[in-house]
Amino acid sequence: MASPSYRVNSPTVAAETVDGEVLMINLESGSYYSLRDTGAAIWDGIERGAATQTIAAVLADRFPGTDTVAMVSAFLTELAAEQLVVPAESGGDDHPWEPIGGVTPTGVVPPPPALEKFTDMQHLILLDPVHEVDAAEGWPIPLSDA
Amino acid sequence: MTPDPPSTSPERFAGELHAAVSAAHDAFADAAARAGSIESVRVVAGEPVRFRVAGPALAEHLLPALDHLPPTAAAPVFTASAWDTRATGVPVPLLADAPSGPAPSRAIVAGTRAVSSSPTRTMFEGYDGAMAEGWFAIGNADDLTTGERGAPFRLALHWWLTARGLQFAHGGAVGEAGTAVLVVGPTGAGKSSTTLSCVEAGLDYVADDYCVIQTAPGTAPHDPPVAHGLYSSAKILFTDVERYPKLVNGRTPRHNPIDDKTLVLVHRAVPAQVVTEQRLGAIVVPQRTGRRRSTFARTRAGVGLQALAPSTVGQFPGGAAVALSSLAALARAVPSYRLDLGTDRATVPHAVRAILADLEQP
Repeated sequence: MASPSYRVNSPTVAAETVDGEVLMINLESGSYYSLRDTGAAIWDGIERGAATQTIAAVLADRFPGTDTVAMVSAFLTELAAEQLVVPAESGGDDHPWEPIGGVTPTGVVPPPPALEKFTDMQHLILLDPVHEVDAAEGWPIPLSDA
Repeated sequence: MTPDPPSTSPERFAGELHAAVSAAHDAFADAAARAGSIESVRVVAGEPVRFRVAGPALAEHLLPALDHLPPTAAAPVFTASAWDTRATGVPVPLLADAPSGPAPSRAIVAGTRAVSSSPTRTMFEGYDGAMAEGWFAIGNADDLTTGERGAPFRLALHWWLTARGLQFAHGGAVGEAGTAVLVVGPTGAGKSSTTLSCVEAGLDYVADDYCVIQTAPGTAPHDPPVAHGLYSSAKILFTDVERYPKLVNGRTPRHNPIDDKTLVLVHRAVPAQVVTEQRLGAIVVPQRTGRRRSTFARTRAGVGLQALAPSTVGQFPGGAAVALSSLAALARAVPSYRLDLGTDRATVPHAVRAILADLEQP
């Protein structure tokens, strides 16, 4: 049976990737997270809408001999437990891509993906529980479009 | 008869938001009619903005931190208004409790409107882009923290500037010879002591606690980011004032019993060092060490973004994804440096100047 696919839990989660390093903020829990290396590569796949098995296959091309299916599945479960990803309504895209830079070179045994979690800003991020009414449209609407 | 929408529906929140900004608009007119208002139009990040404060006590608290902004006779494109209940008798237009129950504060943002309401502080800020207005209200002007006195209209200006594509950043900015560094990090990491030590040593002051970032200031695709200084203020722990003789400048610092801090108006102490706009060359992340000398090293862009973004997003409700995107664009555009703060404070400005020199290397 195919593994479930996931999507980023937006707008609850805001995320950006800079130089192969991902910063995610969960606006409901107030926690923020950092991903590098294989973790960032898996996140890249999720943001691309890739199916779980496609993410595993892309990493398997780079790291022959590694059980990337188990690695990706376990990591997605961890991301889901933190509400950073949620199950995707569709099965996910199956087009491969070149993993983002910063990933361990081809042929080297990759480090397991690590999710670094930080809770020191919870008091700030949760201070003003925000109701973003136009979640689909986004906020703010630029003044030129208003 | 149409039933009321569910208590957590977008329609309910949008209705609350519309009612709140309408109430704020009317309340300020009432406050100004009762107590009079002090007005000025000043250039904020390149645009004329009108500031109006009803009630002399609140004006005395809020307006000095904006005094360094150039006055202009141009028609304002945005108006920020404030009042306090004690001086004017006009209540603060607080939001009702959220459907989930009472909370220390609550914010709603949608389309071109935003409000933040804090019943425990009896404090309100609002914004309506279509009206081109923002509001700040508090029950008693004397309840303002030093930070609030030093950064007036912070949320209203944040919402307005965000809609213009500019981004508030939680960080100080100091520079020299036309280039500034953005000093970022959580409270207690040494952000403010770094910034103020540099000002004491003669570097330009752009901002202490908050500045505004413009990542695409010109038409060219690689124009460097710019830091705009909105506030000419520095909040200093009352017990630390002797560290900053140039900034205190012989004045008797006023102690704020709410937070044991004092507010220094930088343009009054060192007017020649205050600049309202400077090219931004780097993100600097200070951290305290036990070593005597301060040193620096290039670090990953992710380190700079991580020190900058969560505390910024946490202090500016609404549009978190937009804010994170803007700050990430900054982290991509300029290098990040780790600044290891030494116990000898005199070495801090040397290290910051060395970072500025490092930026000039090919």
